[in-house]
Amino acid sequence: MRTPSPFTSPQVAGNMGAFAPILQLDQGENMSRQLPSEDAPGPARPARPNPALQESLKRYWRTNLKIMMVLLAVWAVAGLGCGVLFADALNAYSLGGYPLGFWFAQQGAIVVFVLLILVYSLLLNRLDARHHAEMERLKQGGGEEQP
Amino acid sequence: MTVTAWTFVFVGLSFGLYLLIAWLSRVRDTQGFYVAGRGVPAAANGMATAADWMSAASFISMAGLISFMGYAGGMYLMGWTGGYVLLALLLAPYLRKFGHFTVPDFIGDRYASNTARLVAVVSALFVSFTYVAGQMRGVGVVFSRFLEVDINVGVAIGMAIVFIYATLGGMKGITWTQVAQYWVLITAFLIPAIAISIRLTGHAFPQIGLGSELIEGGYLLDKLDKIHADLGFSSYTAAFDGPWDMANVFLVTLALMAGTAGLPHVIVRFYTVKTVRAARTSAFWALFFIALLYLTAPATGAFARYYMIDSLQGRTAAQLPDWFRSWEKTGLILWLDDGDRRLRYSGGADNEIFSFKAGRVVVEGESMSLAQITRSHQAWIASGGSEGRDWRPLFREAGLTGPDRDIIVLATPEMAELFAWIVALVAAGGLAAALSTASGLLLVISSAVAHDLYARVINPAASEKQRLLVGRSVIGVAVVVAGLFGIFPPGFVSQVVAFAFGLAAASFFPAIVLGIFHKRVGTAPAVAGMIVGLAFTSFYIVASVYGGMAPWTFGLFERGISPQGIGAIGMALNFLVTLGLTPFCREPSDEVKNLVDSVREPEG
Repeated sequence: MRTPSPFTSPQVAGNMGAFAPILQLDQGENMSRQLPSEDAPGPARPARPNPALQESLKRYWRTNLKIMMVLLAVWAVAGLGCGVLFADALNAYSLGGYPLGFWFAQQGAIVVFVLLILVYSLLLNRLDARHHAEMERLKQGGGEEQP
Repeated sequence: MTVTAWTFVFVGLSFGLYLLIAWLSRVRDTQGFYVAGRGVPAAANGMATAADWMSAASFISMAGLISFMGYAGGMYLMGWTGGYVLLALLLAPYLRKFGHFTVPDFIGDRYASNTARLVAVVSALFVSFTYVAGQMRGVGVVFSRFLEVDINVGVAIGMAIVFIYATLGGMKGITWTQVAQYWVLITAFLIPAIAISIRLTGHAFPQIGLGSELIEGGYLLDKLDKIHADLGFSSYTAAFDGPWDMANVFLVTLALMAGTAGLPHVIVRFYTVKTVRAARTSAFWALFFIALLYLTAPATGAFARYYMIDSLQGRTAAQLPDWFRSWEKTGLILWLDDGDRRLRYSGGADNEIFSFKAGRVVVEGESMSLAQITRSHQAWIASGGSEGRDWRPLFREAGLTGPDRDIIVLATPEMAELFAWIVALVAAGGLAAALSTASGLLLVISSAVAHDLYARVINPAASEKQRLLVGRSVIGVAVVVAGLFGIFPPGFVSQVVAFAFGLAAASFFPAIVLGIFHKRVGTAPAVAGMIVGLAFTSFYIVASVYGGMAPWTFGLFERGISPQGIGAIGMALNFLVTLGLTPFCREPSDEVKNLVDSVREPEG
């Protein structure tokens, strides 16, 4: 199934006009803080004005970034660290007939990479499922509050 | 049955299978043609990605590279797998959520600029053509060695096969064919490696065999280190002992990682799955299937190194093994004796093993063929130096010492005297690797021209039928162009592959990552960053590879930076320029910000 990308079509962009004030406010905040967008709150989503939904989305994105940062740190240490920067030092130790630094460069790093992606996809797919359930709940709750 | 007969059987069967799959998965709309109707299951997509990724270079050349480079060969292993971590964590799920057809699509929409789209299209075309030329050549080499047909006929047959299944089935045909090709290539790679591992070390897993004791005693790697030391080669396992220092290994690894994540034919595979979830799972399967080969290649490399030195060193002409005789004909391995009638392969000036890839060389105004060179060298030995000439110094100066690294994988089954059908299977595997990568690249070329240029810029009102027709025609033209590259190989093919990774790392990777993770980045900084990254990287590679420029040390490193690693610095420049300009430039429109928000959110 094709996912449409509504934000590139002018009609949908026009529909957002109603929420323009909210949008303006958030942008102002964004600029004055001058933070990289990873930490900055996203602008209000015009399609979902519900603040609880916004919170949920923000939480989801922060958790995602946290998981990503940790895994990328492991990636860097295993590959560029053990495989390259510390390879010489690690070669003083051995793993069976393998000098350890050599093993990391030709075997260990690759095994770690495969496991990293596995862990990432399991964690994120679970996070997605939780996020989905939360969104559904909030959407229903939000609907009841409306007059 | 002879090796040639077996090869005909395996190649014939596998080609028949590819055509059958093509017929079964023919398509009627652009959705099917570009992204396989987004109906590919995650594991199948992972397999197809693996086949797409593992080219003739991975299958044929990589184990050979490792065999000659030892530890430093790890930069290819880590670079070409570590890139998938970046891809899975930073790009794949978001691009799938974005949900268009191509990489230039994302860049063009995210930065709301046709200039950005155009820069991306040009990079995608350049990267893909560079890559595809090497694949077609690989097809020709396999055909000429194993089926004893002319290289050009081999290329033409390969072209015809790809033409049929790529135009008929587009991405759908290509994907399912690649799944079949994955099985052919991985079987062909693993069987010889396992057989040799059992023979040398008694272990069925080559990964364990590599770190084990030889049946004849002593650890394999210890023994290789000792042989290397005795013969004057740099150590096999020690880090940074040879020509590669730490800074270069680091930068090349990083450039290959970021380049891998930025290569359009890899990224586009993640558009073909059903959901964002599936994109993540599929990235895992892709690296898992790739790792099966990449964890085996270092073992094949080391086994081959051991066998090769062991079976050649100190032999007389009569004692030389059969594999040497059959590969000698291709010129990829060549013995120029010093007159003592015993072969000596070493890392020093007394080395007698060389390779000769080109058909002829021009020496002092005279065009010489391989046969003429051998005759002249024989005359020099027989006459004690009064006739002919000693060719060794010339070859040494030209950097042609040692056998060509490409023969390692193809000749290893013969070295280990495995059955004829295993040797033939390797030929079919090499073809599968080359064809699967070529078809993936051709689709990127087709989509860049037919979708990004024709449908998005030139004629946005084109009907579905017109778009599909243009897509098919462009693939057809691209196959022919790629085939011509294979038949008349531009001398620079092997060097430009470094170019492909460097450019992808310096242009696409930062632009896409910032596009997703930094909402404030607008059009001008991104385009400026891409152009600076591209310009710097291309300048450095062109100047140092063709212009004879001495590699730069940047005042930081002990040795100059290899053109293969320069993409890492180009990428850093791209990030710096983009982030540096961002506070001073207009921020993106609300429309674009909403696009970023929608890409970040898995729902909806």
